[in-house]
Formats: sequence, structure tokens, C-alpha cells
Amino acid sequence: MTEPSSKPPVKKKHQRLARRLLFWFLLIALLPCGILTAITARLANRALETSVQNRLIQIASARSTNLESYAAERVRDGAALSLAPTVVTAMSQLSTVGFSSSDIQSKLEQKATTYSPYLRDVATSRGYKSLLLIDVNGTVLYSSAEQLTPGAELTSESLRSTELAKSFDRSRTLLQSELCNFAPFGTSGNPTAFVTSPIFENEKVIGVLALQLPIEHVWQILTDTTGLGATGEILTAERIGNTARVTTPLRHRTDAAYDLTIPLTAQRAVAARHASSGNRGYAIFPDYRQEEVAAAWCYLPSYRWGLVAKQDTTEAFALLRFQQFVIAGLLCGTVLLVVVVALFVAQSISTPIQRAIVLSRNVATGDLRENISILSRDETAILLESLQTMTKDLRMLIGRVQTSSDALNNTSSSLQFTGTNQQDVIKRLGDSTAQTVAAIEEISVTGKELTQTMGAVNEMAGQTGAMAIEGRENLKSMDATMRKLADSTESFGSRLAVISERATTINLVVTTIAKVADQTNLLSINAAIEAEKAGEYGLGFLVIAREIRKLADQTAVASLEIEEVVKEMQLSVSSGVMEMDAFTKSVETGATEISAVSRQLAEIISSVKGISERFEQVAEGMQAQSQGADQIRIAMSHLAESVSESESALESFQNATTDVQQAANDLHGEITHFKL
Amino acid sequence: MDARSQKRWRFVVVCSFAFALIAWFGAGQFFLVPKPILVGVLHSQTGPIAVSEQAMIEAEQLAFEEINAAGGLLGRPIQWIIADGASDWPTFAREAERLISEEGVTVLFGCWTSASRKSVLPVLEKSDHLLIYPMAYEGLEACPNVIYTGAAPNQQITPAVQWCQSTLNARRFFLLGSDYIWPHCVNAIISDQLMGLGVEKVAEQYVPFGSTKLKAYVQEIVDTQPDVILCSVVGDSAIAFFRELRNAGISPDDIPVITFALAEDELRSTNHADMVGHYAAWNYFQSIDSEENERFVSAFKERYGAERVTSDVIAAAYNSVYLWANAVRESGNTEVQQVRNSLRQQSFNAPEGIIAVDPSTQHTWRPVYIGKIQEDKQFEIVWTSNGSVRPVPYPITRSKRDWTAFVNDLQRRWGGWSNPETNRSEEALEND
Repeated sequence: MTEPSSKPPVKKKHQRLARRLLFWFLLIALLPCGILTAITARLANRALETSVQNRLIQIASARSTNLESYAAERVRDGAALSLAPTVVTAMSQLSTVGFSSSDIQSKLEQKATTYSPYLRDVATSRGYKSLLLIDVNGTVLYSSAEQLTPGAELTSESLRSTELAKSFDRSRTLLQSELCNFAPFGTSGNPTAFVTSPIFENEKVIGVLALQLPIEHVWQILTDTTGLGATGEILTAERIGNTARVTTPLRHRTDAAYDLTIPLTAQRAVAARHASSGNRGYAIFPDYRQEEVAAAWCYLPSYRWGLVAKQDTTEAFALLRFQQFVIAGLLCGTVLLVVVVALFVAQSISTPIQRAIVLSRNVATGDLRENISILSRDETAILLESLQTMTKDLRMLIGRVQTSSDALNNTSSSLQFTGTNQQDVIKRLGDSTAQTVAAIEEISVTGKELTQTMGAVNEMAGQTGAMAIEGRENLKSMDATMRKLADSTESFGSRLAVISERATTINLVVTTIAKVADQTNLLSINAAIEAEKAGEYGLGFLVIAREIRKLADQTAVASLEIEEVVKEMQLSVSSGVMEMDAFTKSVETGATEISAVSRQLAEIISSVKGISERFEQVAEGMQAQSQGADQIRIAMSHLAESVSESESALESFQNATTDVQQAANDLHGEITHFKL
Repeated sequence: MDARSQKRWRFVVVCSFAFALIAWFGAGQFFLVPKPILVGVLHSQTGPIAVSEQAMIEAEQLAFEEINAAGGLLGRPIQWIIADGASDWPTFAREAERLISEEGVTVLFGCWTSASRKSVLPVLEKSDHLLIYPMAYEGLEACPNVIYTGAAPNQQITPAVQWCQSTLNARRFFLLGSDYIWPHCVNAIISDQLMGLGVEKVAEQYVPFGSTKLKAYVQEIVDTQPDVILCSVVGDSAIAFFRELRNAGISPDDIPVITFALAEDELRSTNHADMVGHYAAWNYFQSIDSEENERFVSAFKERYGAERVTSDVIAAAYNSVYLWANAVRESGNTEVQQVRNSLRQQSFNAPEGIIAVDPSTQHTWRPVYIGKIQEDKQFEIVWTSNGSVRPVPYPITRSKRDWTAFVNDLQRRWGGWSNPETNRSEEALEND
């Protein structure tokens, strides 16, 4: 088992399963959703952007068409008016006024009275601010405007550079109706423009009609913000060198007209730059307020203006922003939902599998106790069910195995015990058999010896019989001898009694000697004392005294010893006498007894002759017995062999039992892993 | 097993991503092959005018190529079909008919001479189609089916007359033109202007179309000694005229010629020595100093060779394509009526300056220049209108009705758009 090493991969795999489920679910659910949303959003954005762009372009186009047709109408109007007979007549008449006179102004005014009502009315009724009649030399002959008085010279220093003067010159020389640029004119400085048209008389130019155009008409068209929402506006600008001058009041800056100039190099001038350069286009950029705007621009050739129709992007793309917000919200919601569902599904799949893994891991470690509650009804439930069934079966199986192993263990234990007992018994049996064999061998040997002994006994009995016969004869001689012996013994007793009487006479002589010795001794002592008293002279005597005493002593001792020898001799003689008496009696008894033995011997001889016959029978029986013992011995040795064999067999049985027990123990050990 | 299934998954993922990518970016390219926008280019590739018209074809082609290189129009490429008018007016009409009804072009660029334009007009009117005409012409026409991107008379002729009067102090004008519709109209307009200005028209003479025998006319000039000659003689006749003039010993200082028919491209292939010092009035000169012109000139030279030059007609033809392209972009389709309406509002920062289509006349606002012919076959700009000039196809010296009557009268007299009598007599003379 490699439990610890196998555990992490299982865990890893499980994690990967859940993660992969989640990943693929999210991928499958979110990728198309995201792509679809992106495409939809992109298409919708593009559609919206295009619609904003188209709307702005259309507004710019509509305004420019409006303004252009207004300009074209003015030009045509000028051309038409210049053909009007009254105009031609007035021009013609006014031209006749001589310039030499000093009060030319009053003269001209006077001359014009006939035509002035018509001229004034025709101008105002057509929406012009004023009407001027200018002769070919640039002298104003009639004017309904305050800025110019009759008699003013367009070639003069102050007027030469005005748009009116330029336009007048073009109309006069090119013979065409002209609309000059709007520019501040006169003392008021209000932007104004003139339509100039040549007046012909007999195909010859006699003067130029100038109609003052109020810029308010143009502004009216330009300040119409229809379709531009709350922040949109129309901006027109003319190019002056490297700057663009705004020529219309703006929604966000009403005083901007002819006041606000934007450098063309600036990014906010992108529309003004392009527009006033004659291009058309559309862009999103920060405008003069630094507010981001969507703008479409075009060019107004009649005015030489660039026209910009613009709207703040916050308003123009409000719907777009809302749409983006909604899409983002929807997408977020979808993502959230999908994540939740994905998590749920992944969990619902991975949890039972995880539980199955836990279960199987427990089974792997041997823990079979777990019971799983199955909640779902899908394949994982089937898996869990099968796992559970498997566990249950396994549990039962292992339970049974455990029981069996226990029983086996017990059996093997008792078997071992029995084996051991049996071994003892067999050992004892072996011993007994061996002893029996030994005994039988001894019996056999003994039997043989006995047989031999019987043979010997038989022989000896024969010899005994012979010897008994011989003994009886010897006994008869012995009886005779005995009789002689008893006679000799009696003579010997009488001699011993004489010796004893002599010994007593010796004893009296020895006592007289003993008494002489004692007296000598006393005499020697006295002689010694007297020798002492005699001193030196007595020395020699003293030595004799001492020798006498020694002699006396030796005589006393020898007498004592003779006494004793005599006493012993007396004793020995007396005992001898008694023993002689006893011997004599014994011989007498012996003689009687021998005669009795002799009788008995006769009896024995006859008996021995009978015994010998019986011994032969016994010897035969002994022989047979010995053979039987031999057979028994052989049988016993066979038995002993069997016993030893069965002993070794029992040993192997014992070993096997031990193995069985070991195995049973192992099995038990294994099974104890399982927790039921 | 695990690795293999992983591989398979990876393959599936890669495939689906690739498919998504193809679907996202390649759908247009792979599944919706954009249909090209068909346009017709109708000019003479053969015949006497082919030399001049070839430059127009080239200019239009350059513009088409530039637009295609920049991604085409509305995501579609432009495909141009060049038809040969063969310098023959009925052929122009036939080819226009073919381009419109058979090829199904969405627009026609073409014509040089007024005669060819006038021949094509009925075809255009019949099918309510659109022609962009990039040539300076006499005006006196406002066909709703034509956008005129060349100069109207008041954008070329009247300013030139005025300039002669004010700058050259000319008081006696000699008018000389080829004998066909354009010079007749031009001279009529000039005559009116001279009358209006109260200056003298010495003579008004017409050279048979294509004739090179101009001695008689030069003799007349020598005899009358005008202050200035306004020349609307075209083609080889013009070159012959200048030669004769020089031969007669008339220098530009004596009698300057203002030509309305010679530009850089014509000077390139002629002996320009005869012309140096004379003047031309156009809406464009190669010598215009502007960023746009510089870019245009270098593009043209790069495409067609460094020796090539640009001229008014080349610029007008080039601009025409861009005006039309912008109109198509703005209208979002190639439908003829919508494009025409959109075209009427177009403006464009062209090489010569701001040009803009005038919605009421369908002519084009263009700046006017007068240039003096230099030794290097270029023009020195001596006068400019300072900004584009409103096109006036019908000068107000006469009513529109009168002008129409005038033109119709010419046609009725000629039975066409050029004077057959003088042309025939010229041929007869040549045959003699």
C-alpha cells in the first residue's frame, strides 16, 4: 500500500475535475454569450454611432443647403431687381446728376425722391436692410441705409477695402450678380453682406445695385437647433489666416459671433479647420469649451464659411451609454448566474464523486463503517449506490472472513494443544516401548541365562547327587573318627587338671619371693639412709644399697610378671578344659548330626534325581519363552520405529498447525484492518 | 487517455477560436466578396482629340487607384470601364448608352468637347443617369444629369476679359475661335461683356475645326492691331496660330494672346517657344503653391512619369472622382439619384483650392487663375481670384431663354455641334 503517496493525486484529480467542469461550463456558457454580446454591442454601437453621424451630417447638409439656397436666391434676386425698369430708370436718372456741384448729396436726394419710395419698399419687402445704387465709378447715388450717404465714393480710402467695394467691382467688371462676404460694416460694426448686381442700359453697364443683407436671416437658420437636442448647436467659422473666426452666435456662447476666434492648429479647431478648408467630414473631439462633441461639418461656398453641426457626446451618445450600461449589466448578470449555476452543477457532480472518493478511500484504508445518504437521482447516485452496495457486501464478506479466521485460529490453537499432548503421549509411548523392549531383551537374555543356569543346575544336581553319595560314605568314616576324637579329648582333660594343680604350687613360691624382694627393698632404703649419714665414707655403700634396691625392684617386677604368667596359664588351662568339654560335646553332637545328614543326603540324592528330569522340561519351556520374547522384541522395535515416525509426523503436523495458526493470525491481523 | 482527451479539447478550442476569428474578421473577405462599384470612363482614345482626352483618363484612373488603395468605397473596390468615344459624337452617345444599359455603370466620367457632351445628354436624360463633366466649357447649359466640374464661362472667360481690361488696359479685343459650339458661345459671352464694359470688339473670327491654315486670320490681326487677342482656338489650330503669329512678327508684348484652350499638357508636346509670354486663363496651374497641389503633382508624376505635367483638365478630372467618391460615401450607396443629390452638396480641398458643387446650378465653385507661359512650359500665375468663384452657367447679360435660343439656333444652323460648312470648305481646300 502506498497510501500517503496515492492520496495527493486523488485530491488533485478531484480538484481538477471540479475546476475543469467549472472552466468548461463557463467557457461554453460565457464565450458564445460574450462573443454574441460583443458582436451585438458592436453592431448596436456602430448603428447608433452611424445614426448619430448620419443625423449630424444630415443636419449640417440641410443647414448648408438652406443657407446656400438662401444665398443663391439673394443673388438671383439681385440680378432680377437689377433688371427692374424702375431701378434701371432711377440709375439712369441719378447718373445724370452733375458731380461738379458742391451739395451733391442733397441734389441726389432730391433727384431720388421720385424713386425712393419704390426703392425703399422693394428692398424692405424682400427682406433687405437697405438698397444702394452705385454708378460705374463707385459713387453711391442712392442709399436707403444710414451707413452710407449718397455721394460717398467706394474708391475712397475708408471704403475701398470693404467687401461692398470688392463686390461692386466684381459685379461691374464680370457683369454678374455677386454676394459678398459677411463682414462688420459701417460705424455700427454689425456684420453685413451685400448682393451686388450690374445694371444694364442698352447692354451697357450703367451702375451696380447693392442690397444690404441682414445677417439675422442667416443666423436665424443657423441658430435653429432642431434635431440637435439640448446641447447641439450650429457653428460657422470663416478662415482668417491661421485662425477660424466664429460667424454665428452660439448656443453656449451667444456673443461668439465675430468675437470668438480659434487657432486652426488647435485640436478643438479640427472641424472649423476642415470645414473652412472646404472639406466635409465627421469626428468626435473636444470643442472650444473643451467639451467632447460629435460634429459633422461642411463648407458653405457662398459665404466661404465652414459649417459645423455638433452635439455633446454625453447627449448624442446617451442612448449608446445606456445601451452599454444595459449590456454590461446583462452580461454581468449572466456571468453571475452562469457562475452560480456552474458552481452548483460542478458541486452537484463533484460532491457525490468526492464522497465516493472518500468512501472508496475509506474502503481502501479498510474502514467500511461509513454509510452514505444518497440525495440525488442521477448517475452519481448510481455510482454511490453501487459503492455502497459494494461496501456493504465487502463488509459482510470481511465479517464472515473475520469470524472464520477467529474460528480457525481457535481450532488451530486447540489442534496445536492436542498435538503437543499427543506428542507427549507418543513420547511416553516411545519411552515405554523402549523400556518394554529393554525389558523384553533382558527377559530374553535372562531366559537364555536361565536356560543355561538350568542346564548347569541340572548338571550340578547330577554332581550333587554323586557328591551326596560320596558325602554319605565320607560321613560314615567321619562318624568313626568322631568316636575316636571323643575318647582322646577325655584323656586330654585329665592331663590339663594336673597342670592346673602345679600352677597353683608355683604361685605359692612366687608369693614367698615377692615378700623377700619387698624386704630387701626396705633394707636397701635403710642402707641408703645410713650411707648418707656416713657421708663420703658411706658413698660406696650407698652405691651398693642403690644396686640392692634395684635388684629388689627387679625381683619384685619379675615376681609380679611370673605371677601374671602363671595366672594366665591357669586361666588358659581352665578355658581349655572347658572348651575341651564343649568340644567333646560338639563332636558328639556332630557325630549325631552327621548321621542325620547322611540320612538326609540319601533323601537328597533321590530328590536330585527327580529334579533333574523336571529341569529339562523347564529348559524347554524357557527356550520357547526366549523365542517368544525375541519375537516380542522385534515387534516392539517395529512399534518403536512407528512411534518415532509418528512422532516426526506429529512434529510436521505440529509445524503445519503452527503455520496454520500463523496464517490464521496473519489473516486475523489483516482482517482487523477492517472496521465493521 | 487523459492527455489525449486534453489534446482533443485543445484542438476543439483552437478550432472554435479560429472559426470565431474567421467569422469575425474574415466574414467580409471570405463569404461576402464585395461587388465592385462600376463606373464608366467615356473619352476619346482614338481620333484627333485622343491626345488631350488621354490625360483625363489618366487623371481619373489615378484617383480610382488611390481610392482603391485606400480601401475602396463603402468597402467595395471601384472598377472602371473605359469606353472609346473615338472623337466622334454619335460614338460618344452610343458608348454612353452601352455603358449605362449594358455595363450597368453607376456614374459616367467623360467628354471633352461640348459637342460630345451635347451628344451624350439625351442618353443621360432618357435613363436619368449621371455624367461628371470635368472640362472647362462655355456654359449656357444646366442639365440635371450632369455635374460640371470644369469652369463655367464666368470662372474662366469673364475674369480673363476683366483682367485684360483692368491689368493690360486693353480696349480693343480680337476674338478668335475654332468653328464649333464652344468658341461661338465663349465669344458670345465675351461680346456681351465687352459691350457691357463699353470696350471695342475688333473682330470675331472662326477657324475651321482642326485647320492649320491660319495665315489669313493672323493677317487680319496684323491689320487691325487689337490690344489683346482672346483665343478659343483648339488643338493643332492653336499651335499653328501661335506659329503664324510669331512668323508675322507679333510678340506677346505687342499683342498678348489670352488662350482658353492651351494648358501645360498641350505645351509639353509643342514648340512652346511661339507661346512664351502669352497668357492662359484656367482654374488650375501646376505652378500653384499649395500642399494639396504638391501632393497631387507628385502622385501624378509618380504614376505616369516625371516628364508628365498636370493641367486644369487633369485636376478637374481628378477632383471629379473625389467629389463623386465623397458623395457615394455620404449617401451610403451608389444609387444614381442619391449620389447626384449628395454630389450637389460636396466640397473638397482640391489642389487648386477649395472647390464646391453649387447645388442650384450643379456647376462647381472653383478659383480662377491667369498664368503667363514660361520658358519651362509652365505658367507663372499673374492673377488669382482669391478663393473659389460662384459658377454662373448663364451670364446675366442675356436671359436663360435667350441663351438657349442662341445655342439651339447654332445647332439648327449646323445640324450638329460644329459648323459643317467651314469644316467642309476646309476639307475642300485641303483636297484642292
